[in-house]
Amino acid sequence: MNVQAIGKPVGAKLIRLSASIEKEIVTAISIRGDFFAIPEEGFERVEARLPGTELGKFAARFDELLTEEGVEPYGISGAAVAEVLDDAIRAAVGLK
Amino acid sequence: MKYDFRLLRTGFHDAAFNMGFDEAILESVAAGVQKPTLRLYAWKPAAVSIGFFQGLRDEVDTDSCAAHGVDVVRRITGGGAVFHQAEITYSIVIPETSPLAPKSILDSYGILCGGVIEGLRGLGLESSFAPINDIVSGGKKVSGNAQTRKKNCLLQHGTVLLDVDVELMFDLLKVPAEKAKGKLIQDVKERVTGVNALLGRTVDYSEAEAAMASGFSKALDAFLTESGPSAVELDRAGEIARTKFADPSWTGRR
Repeated sequence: MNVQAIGKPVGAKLIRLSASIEKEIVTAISIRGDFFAIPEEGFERVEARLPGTELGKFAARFDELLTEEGVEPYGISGAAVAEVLDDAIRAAVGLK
Repeated sequence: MKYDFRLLRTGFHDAAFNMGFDEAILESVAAGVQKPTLRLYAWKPAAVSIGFFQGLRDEVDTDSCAAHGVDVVRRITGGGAVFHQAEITYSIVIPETSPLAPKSILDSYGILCGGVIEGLRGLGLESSFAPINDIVSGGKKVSGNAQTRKKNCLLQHGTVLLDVDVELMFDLLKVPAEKAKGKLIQDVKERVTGVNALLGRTVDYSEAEAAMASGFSKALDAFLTESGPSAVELDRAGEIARTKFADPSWTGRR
């Protein structure tokens, strides 16, 4: 299932997201928006490491990867991306 | 004055060269060849810059930009899309060892945005820092700023809006499908303004340039030595502009 959404969760900047989900697992994801994450290249490594993450563990895994890659985020967090991802899935299955 | 800075007044350039120039300065300060540097500049032709993480096709109507002769460039810094038209832009590059570049990104925004606030005060405007990266005056945004850290240096660049053409801006930028364009334009007019509207008079580029130089000097306790860029920096700026910022694969990488 391919999903996409735009959201601005509380405390976050605008987040745009496109993802592929198979059997509750994120198999591909692109996260775009006007947030900050320093170093920027570290964020791209985080994004590249997200496929394979279970939906239920997405927020924690995102934050864990930011820490592992030494990325300081502003206007984006695991909870914020997970919220937009949840909206995207709900919209795709007709729940929104 | 506590800190030595180089001041570059580089005037008007196209978008790719402007972004290449900032990166070339970052390289020379990182190499210890140049002092911490404040650069003041503007954009000709007008340009849309997008943040590092933004999607080009999400944000920009590239056909409209081409029709209006407006450049499009992706920055190395995060943040949102900016329409650079009637404004003064600054960039500041400082080694991360400087007390002006604390480890906390938020704290460093606060320190460096102080230069803009003091510059606006010199023009007769009171303003304040609106974390994380804006400056507001009269309740409206008048300056946006974006920062990155590379090569053990901090680079922050930002704009001070002199005038805002919101209608043209939304011809150039994509409007989210769920938002009515007219309503969005009205919202932005209520939230964003320029120095000229706030002051009720026209501030030209040279007046704004002088005010910003003085403002940064005062706020950062910086002694500014004006000079031109080095030949190496100019060469690198052109090279980085050609090979990176003017390259469609960079602009469209997201």
